[in-house]
Amino acid sequence: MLRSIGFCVLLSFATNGFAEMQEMADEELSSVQGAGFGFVLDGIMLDASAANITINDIERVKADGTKENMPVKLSEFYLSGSGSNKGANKTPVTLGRLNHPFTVTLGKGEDMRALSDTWELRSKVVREGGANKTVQYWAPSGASQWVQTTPSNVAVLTLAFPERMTSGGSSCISGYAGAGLNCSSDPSGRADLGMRFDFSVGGGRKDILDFDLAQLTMDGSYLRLWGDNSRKQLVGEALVNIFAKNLDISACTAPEAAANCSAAAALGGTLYLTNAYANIALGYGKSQPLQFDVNSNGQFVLELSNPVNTSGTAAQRNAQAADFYANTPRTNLVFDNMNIGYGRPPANGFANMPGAVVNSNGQAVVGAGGLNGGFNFGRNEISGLSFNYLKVTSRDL
Amino acid sequence: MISKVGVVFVAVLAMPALAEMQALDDDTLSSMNGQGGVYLSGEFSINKDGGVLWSKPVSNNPSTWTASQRSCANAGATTPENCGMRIAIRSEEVGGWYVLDNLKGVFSFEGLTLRTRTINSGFNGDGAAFNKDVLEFGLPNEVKFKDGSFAFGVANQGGWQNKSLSVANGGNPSYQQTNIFSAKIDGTIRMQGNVLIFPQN
Amino acid sequence: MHPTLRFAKTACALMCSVLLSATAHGAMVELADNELSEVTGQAFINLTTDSHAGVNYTRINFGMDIETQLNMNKLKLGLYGRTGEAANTADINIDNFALGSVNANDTINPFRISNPFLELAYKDNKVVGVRLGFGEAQGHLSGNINTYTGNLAIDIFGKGSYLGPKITCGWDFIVCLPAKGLVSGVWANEDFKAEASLVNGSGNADPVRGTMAGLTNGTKLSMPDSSAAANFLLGLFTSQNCGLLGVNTCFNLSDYGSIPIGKFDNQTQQFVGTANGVFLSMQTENVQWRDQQDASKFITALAGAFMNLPRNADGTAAITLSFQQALEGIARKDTCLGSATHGC
Repeated sequence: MLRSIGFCVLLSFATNGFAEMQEMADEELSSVQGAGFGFVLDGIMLDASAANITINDIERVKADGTKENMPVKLSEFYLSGSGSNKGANKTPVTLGRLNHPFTVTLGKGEDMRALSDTWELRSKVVREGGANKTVQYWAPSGASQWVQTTPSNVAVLTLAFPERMTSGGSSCISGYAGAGLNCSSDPSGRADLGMRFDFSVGGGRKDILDFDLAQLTMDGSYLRLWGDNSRKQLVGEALVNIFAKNLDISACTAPEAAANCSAAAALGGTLYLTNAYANIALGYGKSQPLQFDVNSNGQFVLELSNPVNTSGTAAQRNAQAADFYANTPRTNLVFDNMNIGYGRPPANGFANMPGAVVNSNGQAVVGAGGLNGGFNFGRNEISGLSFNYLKVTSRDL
Repeated sequence: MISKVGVVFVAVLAMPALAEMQALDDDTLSSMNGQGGVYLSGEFSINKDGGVLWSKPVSNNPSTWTASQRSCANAGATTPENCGMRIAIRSEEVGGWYVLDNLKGVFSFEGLTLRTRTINSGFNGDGAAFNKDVLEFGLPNEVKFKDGSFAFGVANQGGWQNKSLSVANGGNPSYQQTNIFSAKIDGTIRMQGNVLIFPQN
Repeated sequence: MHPTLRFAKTACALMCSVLLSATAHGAMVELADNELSEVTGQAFINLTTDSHAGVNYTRINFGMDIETQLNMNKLKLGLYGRTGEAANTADINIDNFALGSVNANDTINPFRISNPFLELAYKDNKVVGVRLGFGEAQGHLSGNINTYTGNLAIDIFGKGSYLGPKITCGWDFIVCLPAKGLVSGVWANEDFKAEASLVNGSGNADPVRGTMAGLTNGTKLSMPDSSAAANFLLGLFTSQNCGLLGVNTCFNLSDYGSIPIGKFDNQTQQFVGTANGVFLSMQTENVQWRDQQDASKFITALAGAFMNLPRNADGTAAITLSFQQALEGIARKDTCLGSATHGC
């Protein structure tokens, strides 16, 4: 008897299915806004301590005036999850979230938005030249909103970090409200980043600069690029946000042959920043795009030109200026607490710094001041910075 | 006689009467998952022994070079070095060039993976709401560099020209290149993790 | 054409990887030594070192020319408790800080900076100070100065014709009357000057978180000569307790809306020179920084945050005001486009 083992292979093809491809009507097609992709860094960790990375093209001027290349060694570079204790215990971290990823998109300028602090025009009375007069000035209103900063009718390429939101989200710096409350990265999605530069400055000594950032996030940062027809060049706008709970910068000097600075020197020269953030805004696409050129002398030129068209009427110029000042993203650099050689402040803060040390002639006594070599600089801020004009040109030294 | 223990393989083809092939409806088809992926290892070198444009001169002094020679050693170095690849881009109608110069070295990695993955859970609760497929690039555990280098700068001409030679000798005294940043990399960078990529609109 | 396509087409057209080579003919040209450094490319950053009195300095110089007109809502450095100072004050606190100015037709007068640098001071192998300096600076610096720590170069003067009538003579009329006659007569057009510094309301020096600038107690105005009359006048022309001959000699910093950095010609309203020693520094103890204006000198910066707005190379101050003008302050220049002027 035959035993038959049958292999039954069923091949089937979709026929009259339920999800048939159909043509999109024109009105549906035009509502698609830009295309691109998002990405998330899942379980990332990076450690370059086994690599020899040297940065060149900084020259050292010797005592006799001649110049030679001074290599700067990047002797430490790591990216890890937070809580790594300056890179000692690295753990993987997931940067970006599936619903708030890093994105690379190409879209229309009129569809893009940026979160910007809204400023308003106010007046005050000042006394000048012996008389009172009323003057106008702009000041932050305290609110922020999403505004269109890119010009209309251009295709804009955007590279963006996870976004900042209008509402919801987490505190951009945990435990500190001043930096903003609506970052999309949650506390587990913050990174520790560190790098150390060794500069061989000559004379048998090397300067060591060691940066360690803890609980770093860069939500809301972006770089946008498009072609400007009237200027016939590539222009853009950028916003770089850096939020860090702690930033330690150790600056000390050691003999060339030593591996590290002495422990006392490293601690004594460490800058401790707590609750530090930077929002660096370059360019307001509609009227002041960021231009990065190379001039015909082979030097680079970074330019932010006057957002107002000076050949217009006063009414037109006032309107352009009002739009710029109300909406342009501003640059802020805030270090809520900065100490050198003093460590992190205790819960109730440090004791008062001593007064100025001046002698009986009112002259400062060199070497005096500070408290056991450390100093608490307290809060430092540069806020609400905007450029009416900027042109940076490099030149040979 | 046919052995009783003979195993007869009968490939039974679908016949109209018995196991007829039938179209799988879309619901069933869409619930099938595929499994597959790619595992890549590689090594490639760029201009490890110099490139096609410039031969290595004997000295590091530009005034002694012939028109087809160039050394990319640092300022003040005694021995000349081969040059890497050069890419120049001009982003305006009239102006200078951005240059990625002296790009060279040996670069190798092992264990770069590529596969698709369906995410519908995890990620602190975001996965369930996301519920889509992503392309997952698994980063290699180690990326090795040997004598890698590059320089980023700006120049007033796209191609490199020897500033120390006169035009008659094949150079161009008015050529100017300003290096903004250059680096040399040697050794191993350790990494781990995945990059998940998905469409966004 | 669709903007995307046009952009792509332009980008492609402009992208060029130009690889040229040309044949050479013999003649080798001698290179000067400084040209040897241009092997791969010129760098715009270099590093220099210095040392003085046990302190080592490392300085990173940037080869850059910067023209800018900017505004800041707040510049606040060093907000911490300091013994002897009022609570919640900062070492440097300037609202509506601006560099450069804007004309009525919205054209811009930029603030110029050349060759900025970053310098670190090390003592006992640890950093004790950092400064951001400008090799050369020129332009108007504006702001509402709430507190200031640093050097601020202001000269205050009184013309003879202004001071003369204020002299009253008593029992000392033998010397006094001739002196008064000289001041009102021959010396009527002379400027009797003195350097102002940071003071408090009683005329005492207040170099940290100063809110006023003026003549410290005991400061004497300069005399045209050293005659007996001049020596007599020295006693009268000495500031005490913010007063001199009944004239106020101390003024609120907040009245100085704009300060010219670099030599400014009031007649032509143009800048005719640059200031070479402007810097902003932070230090953990009093530190000496080398003076950019005169390399043999050092400027002592106080612990904390410190801003140096120096005298011009020829010794003249950034601001020179008569007592009358000082009372009125200096009007702030327009630093904003459009209708606003005092901050944006």
